[in-house]
Amino acid sequence: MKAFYFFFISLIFFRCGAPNIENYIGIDADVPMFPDYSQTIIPPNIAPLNFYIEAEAEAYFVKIYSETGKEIRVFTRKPSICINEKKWKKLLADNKNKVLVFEVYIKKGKQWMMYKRVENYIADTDIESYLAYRLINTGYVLWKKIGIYQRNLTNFDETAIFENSSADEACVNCHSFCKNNPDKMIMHLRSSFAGTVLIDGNTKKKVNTQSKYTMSAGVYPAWHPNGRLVAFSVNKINQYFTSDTSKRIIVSDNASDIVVYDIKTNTITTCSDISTRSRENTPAWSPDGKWLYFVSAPECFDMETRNNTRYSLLRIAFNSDSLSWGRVDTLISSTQTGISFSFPRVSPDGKYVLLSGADYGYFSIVNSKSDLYLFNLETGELILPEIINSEQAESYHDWSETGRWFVFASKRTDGLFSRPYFSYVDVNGNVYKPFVLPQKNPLFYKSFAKNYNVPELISGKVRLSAREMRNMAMQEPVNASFDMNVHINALSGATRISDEYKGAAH
Amino acid sequence: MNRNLFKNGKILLAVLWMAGFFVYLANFIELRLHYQLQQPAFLWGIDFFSHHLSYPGGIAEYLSLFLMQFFINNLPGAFVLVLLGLLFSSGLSMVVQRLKGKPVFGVLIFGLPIAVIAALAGNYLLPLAVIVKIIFSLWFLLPCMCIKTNLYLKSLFFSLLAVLTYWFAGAIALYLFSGALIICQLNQNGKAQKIFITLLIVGLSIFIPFLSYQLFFNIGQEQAYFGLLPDRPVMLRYKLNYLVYLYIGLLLVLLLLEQAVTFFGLAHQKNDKKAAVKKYALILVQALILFAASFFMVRGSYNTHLKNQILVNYYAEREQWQEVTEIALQTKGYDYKINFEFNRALFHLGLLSDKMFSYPQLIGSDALFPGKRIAGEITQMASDLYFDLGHINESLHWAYETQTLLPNSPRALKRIVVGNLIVGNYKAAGVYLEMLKQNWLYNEWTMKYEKYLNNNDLVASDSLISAKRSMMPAFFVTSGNPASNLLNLLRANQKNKMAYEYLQAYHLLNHELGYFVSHIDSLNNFGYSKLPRNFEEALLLYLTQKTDEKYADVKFTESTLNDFKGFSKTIIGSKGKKEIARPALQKYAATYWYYVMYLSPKVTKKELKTRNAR
Repeated sequence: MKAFYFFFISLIFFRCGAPNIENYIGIDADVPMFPDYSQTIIPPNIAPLNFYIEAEAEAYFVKIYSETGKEIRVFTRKPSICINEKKWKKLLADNKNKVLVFEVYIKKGKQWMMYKRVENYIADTDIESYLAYRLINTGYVLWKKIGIYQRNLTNFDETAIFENSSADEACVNCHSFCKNNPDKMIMHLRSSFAGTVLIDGNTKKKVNTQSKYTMSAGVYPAWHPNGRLVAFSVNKINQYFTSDTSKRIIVSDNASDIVVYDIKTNTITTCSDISTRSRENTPAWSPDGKWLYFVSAPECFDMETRNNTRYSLLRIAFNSDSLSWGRVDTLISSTQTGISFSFPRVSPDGKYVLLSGADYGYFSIVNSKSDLYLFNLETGELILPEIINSEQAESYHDWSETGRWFVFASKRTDGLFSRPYFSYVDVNGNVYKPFVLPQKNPLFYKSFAKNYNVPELISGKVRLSAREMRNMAMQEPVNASFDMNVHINALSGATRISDEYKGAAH
Repeated sequence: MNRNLFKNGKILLAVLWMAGFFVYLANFIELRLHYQLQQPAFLWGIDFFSHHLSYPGGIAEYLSLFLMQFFINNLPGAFVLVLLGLLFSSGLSMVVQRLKGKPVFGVLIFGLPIAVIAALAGNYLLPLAVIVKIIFSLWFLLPCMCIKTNLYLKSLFFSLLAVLTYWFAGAIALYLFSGALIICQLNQNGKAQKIFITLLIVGLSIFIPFLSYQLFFNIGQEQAYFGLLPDRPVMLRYKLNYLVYLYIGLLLVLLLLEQAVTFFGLAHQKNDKKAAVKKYALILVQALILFAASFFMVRGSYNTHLKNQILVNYYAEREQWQEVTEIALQTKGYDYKINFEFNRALFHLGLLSDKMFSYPQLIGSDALFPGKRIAGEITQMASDLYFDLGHINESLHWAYETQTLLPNSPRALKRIVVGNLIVGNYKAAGVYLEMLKQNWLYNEWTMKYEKYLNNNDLVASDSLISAKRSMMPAFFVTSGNPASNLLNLLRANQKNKMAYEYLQAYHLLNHELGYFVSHIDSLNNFGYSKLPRNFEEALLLYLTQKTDEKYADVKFTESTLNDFKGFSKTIIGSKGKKEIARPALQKYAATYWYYVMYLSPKVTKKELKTRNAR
């Protein structure tokens, strides 16, 4: 009896693991795989790249191998190819800097056929183990369920960092981490429980960053590398809907400035060069903390100038010890390039700025013309890497700590939903074909009607549970005070704060 | 013989009682209207199920959503509610049987639950989960009645069931379970045991919600401690009322009554004639109470106005425009949602410019364009309107807002699929189609449109899609001023009759006769053989204010002229005193003149009240 079971089980394994494909014929075609995981560079610690073969067949067989180690075999009657996690991890770990091959066979009638081999390259540098993002529906005005989640990039586990269903459906947005550190985080809440939750190691607090001298609470954040300061834009934002299917919505600002929040002193400061009548926005620090990068567009006077003006890339010198500001440089002029820039992010080696560029405005995620650009700070060269861009919006992006990877949101999959894509950058600044965040179910992106918003790479898991974050979010915020040594407010009028108001500042 | 007759009579009465409520629910309440308003979706996917495991009460809500799928038609919907009533009655009856033997208040136990459920169903916002959760707590009580073991095992068993009740049905169900269990313990032997069990149950009721909030579930405080209603957007939120409290309290009250009868020894009557008389008298009293309570509850909860409001929407979705107008005109009292659908229906019947004022347009142009006020309850209406107008982007915008609030709403998903097919974004249409495919009620619909995703010719051959494509406007920024949007739509397609009629209606409702007259020549583009009645009325009014040679030769219909003369005469007769003239002018209530004088929000200062955007 035992022998019978052994024979039976062996038969199953034999059938599942190794079909007889010796007499296959080759097809001169690329594998119709979804998502497209071909000709890309992948991190050695990434989760299995499960995919779906968009071809009708009676059976499917995939061999995955590299130079060394045991090849992975997947035999299935269904076109979803789900790869064993354990075997995948071993194969990748054993073959850094080597080619990873997918051989895909399909069976039609009694004939096995093989597509062209799919080759990917395994990098030698890991990517951060977690990705944080907000999941949000496509509604533009109303909201209901919004949450910030973290996904383990080495497997398929997703956990909530914060879910608004636990806090009166407050609108939660603009989460940000200091140098990819999961223990240094901020996120904003609007409507219910409004304020900014700040996690700094074991210190947790909730702050109201709006003051009498700022036009709004902090919006787009950027952590200073010293972990003590956070630059925020303050904005008066509007949105307009259009009849054009490629430009469904226009998001623009009536006014905007930049302020800097000091966690230690709970103070907001600014200077006359970043709180002008022009619209300064989307700040980012250089890795050494000596420069604050931002974009700026001229003051708006009407609907036309509000919606259609372009943003230039600027930077201003900063001394974090004395909290003093230097002069402003214009790095890329939108007038000269005809491109409107936003969300500059400086690479960890300080050589490049990765930024969004589009035909107008700064809110690139809703603009299908938005692409990612790479600006070389040493040569002043602006590059549009075609390999990472598509006809749909490429937008919010974030560097890995090593500088070898970056993540960005792209709507290329279907033109409507933003999905996180990863791309490799070599030491010479060459970028390579991106790949989408792998999912356990390869068809996940074909039925998931939420957007991945503000993807940020983090080096580990956010330790606070969603319940602890909920408790934090529900606390009363502490009001930040405005630095009375600054004689410029951030109401985008660049008006001087008169002495009589000084006493009123909280 | 007599006993059999009595038994058969009881069964017959019970069947008749249930049948009566079945008929009431199917024909008067019309459960399809619950479905129409609430758009409940039940998906087969594992994600949908596991989401419902992640919070207390989720499993009962999952089951409720499944049951609500039967509400798509009146008969299966009524069957489900009657079945739930029976589950309540039989559960309670079994609890009492286990507790003390045959129930004394059997008539109330059998008859009252279905009556309360039927009364609850009079509110179309009722979440079925409210009914299901309470039944859960009742059926979790039943095993507690069966267990005859030592105190420790009993305590363990009670604790386990209390946890399950909380997890499956939420906090209120737990409290009800605990309350009922305490009542059931009252007639048990052993004072110490009673005190121990009571303390245990009270402790469980406090600690289970507390611990679940602090340690297990990522939920809000209200849901943890008072969870009964499912999480819904504001426009579908149900307000607790006396019927819900009655429904929740029913179990406790009936159990208490049964226990009281036992406690005071009233149940142990001698088996003689006198006892039989008392028994029948008690049945009679119960029957009287049951009839009276049922009558008042059901009558008090029946809301014709709300029913008509949903019915109008129901017919509008199915493009049964004649029914829309008929119900709108039958409905007493003003309703802006009915007003909105009435205007749409009139357009589709070709009567908007003739009969718009046959319904009192009390909020003016806001009943043409609900999007002016951003709130969850107008998102679907706005999407429908812009879809009709051919402004597909705007229709999609509002459909996305609806889908944000009601992620699985079949109606929103269908609109998004079709909208994306029209604008040519087949992949996005595919995402929403995949979502809808998980809903078994829409298999046929999804199979039809799935074929469109990879077949351009099929899409192009679809008459609805090609008609809408021909109406799609060139680029413009959607303005807060509807007139500007309508003009842009007309620029894109001069044959967009709806844009034209709505533009003129907008001007009329806003007393903008100058603008109205400036567009009147465009009538020729739309094949009118004569001036529509409302246009005649407006033009006559305009000509009283301004001499315009261009319209000197316009031939007005006899009846319009006569009415205008009559209207003017009455006004002159009242020496300009509007209110004195009003009773006499009632016969002109369906005219533009009457609107301008009495009904327009510019006169009455009436405004739509807004509430929380979500």
